[in-house]
Amino acid sequence: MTKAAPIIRERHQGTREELSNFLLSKLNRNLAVYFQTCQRCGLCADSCHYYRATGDPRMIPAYKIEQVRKLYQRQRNDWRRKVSFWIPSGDGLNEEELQELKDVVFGRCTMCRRCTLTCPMGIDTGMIMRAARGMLTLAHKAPKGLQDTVDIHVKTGNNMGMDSEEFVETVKWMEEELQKDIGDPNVRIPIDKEGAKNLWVLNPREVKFFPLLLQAQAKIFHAAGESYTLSSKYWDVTNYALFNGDDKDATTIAGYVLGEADRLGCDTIICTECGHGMRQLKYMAPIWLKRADFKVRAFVEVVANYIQSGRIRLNPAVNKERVTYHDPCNQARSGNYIEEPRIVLRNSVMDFVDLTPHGRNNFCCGGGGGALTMSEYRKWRLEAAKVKADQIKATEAKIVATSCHNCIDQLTEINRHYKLNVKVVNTCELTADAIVLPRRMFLSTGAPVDVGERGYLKTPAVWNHEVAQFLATNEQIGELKEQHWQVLEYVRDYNGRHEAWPLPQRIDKDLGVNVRHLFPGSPEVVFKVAGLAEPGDQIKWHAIGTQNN
Amino acid sequence: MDQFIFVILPYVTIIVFVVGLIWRIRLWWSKPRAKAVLFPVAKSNFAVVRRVVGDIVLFGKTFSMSKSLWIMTVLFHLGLLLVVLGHIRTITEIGFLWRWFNVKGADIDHVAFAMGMTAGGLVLAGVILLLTRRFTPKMRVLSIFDDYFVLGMLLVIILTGLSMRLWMPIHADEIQHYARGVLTFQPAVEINNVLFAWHFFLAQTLIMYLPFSKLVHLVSKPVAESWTMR
Repeated sequence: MTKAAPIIRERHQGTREELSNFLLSKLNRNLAVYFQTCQRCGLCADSCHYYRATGDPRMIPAYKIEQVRKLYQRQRNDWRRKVSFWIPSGDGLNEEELQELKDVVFGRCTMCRRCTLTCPMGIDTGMIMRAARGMLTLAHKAPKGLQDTVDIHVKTGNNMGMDSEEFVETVKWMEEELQKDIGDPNVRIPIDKEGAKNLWVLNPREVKFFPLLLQAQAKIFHAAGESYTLSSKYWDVTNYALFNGDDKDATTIAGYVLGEADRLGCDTIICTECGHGMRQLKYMAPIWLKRADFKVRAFVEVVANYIQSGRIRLNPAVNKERVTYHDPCNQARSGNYIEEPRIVLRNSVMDFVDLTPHGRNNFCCGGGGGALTMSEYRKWRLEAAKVKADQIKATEAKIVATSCHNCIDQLTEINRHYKLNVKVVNTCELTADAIVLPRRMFLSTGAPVDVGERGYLKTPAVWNHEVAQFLATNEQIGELKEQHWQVLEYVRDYNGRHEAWPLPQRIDKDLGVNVRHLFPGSPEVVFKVAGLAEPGDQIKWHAIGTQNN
Repeated sequence: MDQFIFVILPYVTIIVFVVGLIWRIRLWWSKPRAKAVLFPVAKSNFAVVRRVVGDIVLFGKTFSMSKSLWIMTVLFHLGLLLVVLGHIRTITEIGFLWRWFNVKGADIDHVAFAMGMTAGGLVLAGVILLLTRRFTPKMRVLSIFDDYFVLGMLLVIILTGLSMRLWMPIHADEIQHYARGVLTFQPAVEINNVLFAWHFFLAQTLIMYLPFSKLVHLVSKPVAESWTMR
C-alpha cells in the first residue's frame, strides 16, 4: 500500500502480557478438556475441506488444534513447562510466531465445525480457533479486511457504513418496485413501525448490491400478511466480531439490533438469509448480553412455517430447472435449520436434489468464518473450494440455492473459478418467483376484486370473464378455453336456479365433458372459478338423479 | 532397586494416579463451560447416553470415517480391556469363573495362559499397527511426543508381559501372595524375575503418567462428546 489507510477506530494494542492473559482467560472447561483429550488420531482429516482439497497434513484440524494447544502450553510458568522438553522455548508471541498462527487460525480454518461432527471426542475446533483469533485481534494481527468490517460496524451501525438516508431510499425504491410487481399501490415495506410483531433485519450486502432480494422477501411477507418492520437506524444482522473473536465488539454489535427490537416493541427478530447473523443473534447474543427475552427466527424457518400453515401458496411450475441446496454451516450444524430449507425448496421448485453429503454433514463452501473479507487468503480459499465444486458438479443442478450471503458470494466465486455454469441464488428468490400471490386483483376499470382465504370470490356479484380468468390463474389452471366457459356458465345457471351445487358427475353427464380434467385439483375448484359464494359448513349437492326440473 | 520397584513404587503409583486424576478433574470442573452443540441435538438425556455409550462400545464414528483405523482401534481397546480384566487374577483367584466353566486343577493355568496370550496378542497387534500408522508421512506431521511415548511404553510393557509368560513364567500364586502383601501394607521383595520387574516398573510408570497425558480420554471422552448433543 502506498498511502496509509485512514484509521477507522482507535483500538488498544495488547502487550505481550495482556495477550498471554487473554489466552488464559479464554481457557474454559471445553478448551481445557479438548486440549487434553485430542488423540491426534487424524480422523478429522477427511472432514476438512482444506485437507481434502490440498492433501497437506498441515491442513488437518488436529494439527491446527495442536498449534493453539502448544501456544497455551507455552504460556504456562510452572514445573510442567520445565519438564516439557518437546515444547519450544519462549511464549510464542513474537512477530513471526503470531504471523504463523494467523495463517493457521484465519487462513486455514473457516470454523465450520464439520470436524467436530466426525471427531470421536467431539472436539469443537471452532471454539479453539475463536480463542486464538481473539488473541490475534488484540495483538492487531487479525486480517485487515475482517477487522475493518468490524470497526465500520461498531462505528456506523452496519458493516458497509451506509447512512440511514441511503438505506431508507433503497427500501422506498424497492417498495415501489414491489407495488409495480404485484399491481397493488397500497403495499408498504414498513420502516420504524412501532408495535409490529417482528423486526426484520438485513444484510448490508442486500441493501447495497442486491436490493431485489429485499423485494423478494417483502413480497413473501406481504403474501403471508405478516406484521413486520424494518429499523432505519440499526438494521444489520451481521456480526463479524463472531469471527475475529472480540467478545466486546460482538456484544456491542448484537446490542444494536436488540436495542432496536426493544425500541420498536418487537418480540421476534426475523433474520434475512444470513447464516452467521442468525447464529450469533439466536445462540450467542443471549450469552453476550445476558438476556433471553427475545426470539430469533431465520428467514427459511419463517417461510417454511407459512407454507405448512397455508399462509402462502406456491406454484413450483415456474422453477423448472434442477435446483440443489447448499447447507450453510451456521444454519445446519450450528443452527438447526436442516428440514426447513428443504420444505421451502420442495414447494418452490419442480426438481430438487440434495448434495452428497448434505444437512449437518455438508461441506463448508469455504467462505465461512469471515474468509471472504480476508483478501490475503483468497488463493487458499478457492483451492479448498474444490470440494464444494465437485459436490455441485455431481448433482448436475442448474441452480444452487443457499440461505447465507457469505455462501452466496463464495459460491459465485467458485462458479466462476471452476466454470460450473450454474446460477447461484438465495432461496427467497425462488420462493418469491413461485408465489401465487394476489388475493386481490384490479379490473381493467380499476376496481379491486378480493378473494377470500379459501379462494372464493368475496363479492360474487362482480364476476365476469376477466375475473374468472384471474380466479383460474389463482388455481393454477391457465387460460380458460371454450369447454371451460361452457362448464362455468352451466354451474352459474344451475346455482342461480336451485341454490345448490351440481355434483361433478352430473355436469359431466349433462354436458358430456370431464370436469375433473378441465379443473384439476380439489372438486371445489370449478365452483371457485365460477365465482360462487363461499359455502357454509354444509354444501347442498345435487347428484345425478335429483328431480329438480 | 528391587526394594524401590516392589515396595515403595506401588504406593507412589496409587497416590499419584488417584491424586492426579482428582486434580485433573477438579481443574476442569473449576472452569466455566461453554455450549458446543451440534444440531440436531439428541431428543432426551437417554438418547445422549445411548449415543455416547454406543460409540464407546462400537466405535461408530471411527468406523464411518476409516475402516482401517477402526480395526486397529478395536483390536487395541478390546485387547486392553481383556488384559486389564485378566490382571484381576494377579490379585485374587477368580474361582467362580473356573467353576462356571468347570475348569479344574492344572487346566486352570493352561486356560489362563491361552486367554492371556490371546488378549496380549490383540493389544500387541493393535499397538504395532497404531505405531506403524504414526510413522506414515501424514501422521508424523500430526504426532507429538505424547503419542509416541504412550504407544512405545505399551509396546514394551506388552512384550515383557508376553515373554514373561513364555520364557520366565511366574505362577499366579506367587503374584497373588505378593499383591496381598502390598494391599495389606506388608510388601516384600518376593519375586526374582527380571522380566517381571521391568513389566511391573513400566506399567506403574504408565499408570502414573495417565492423568497428565492424552490417556485421560478414558474419563473425558464421554463427557466431551455428550456436550455436542445437548
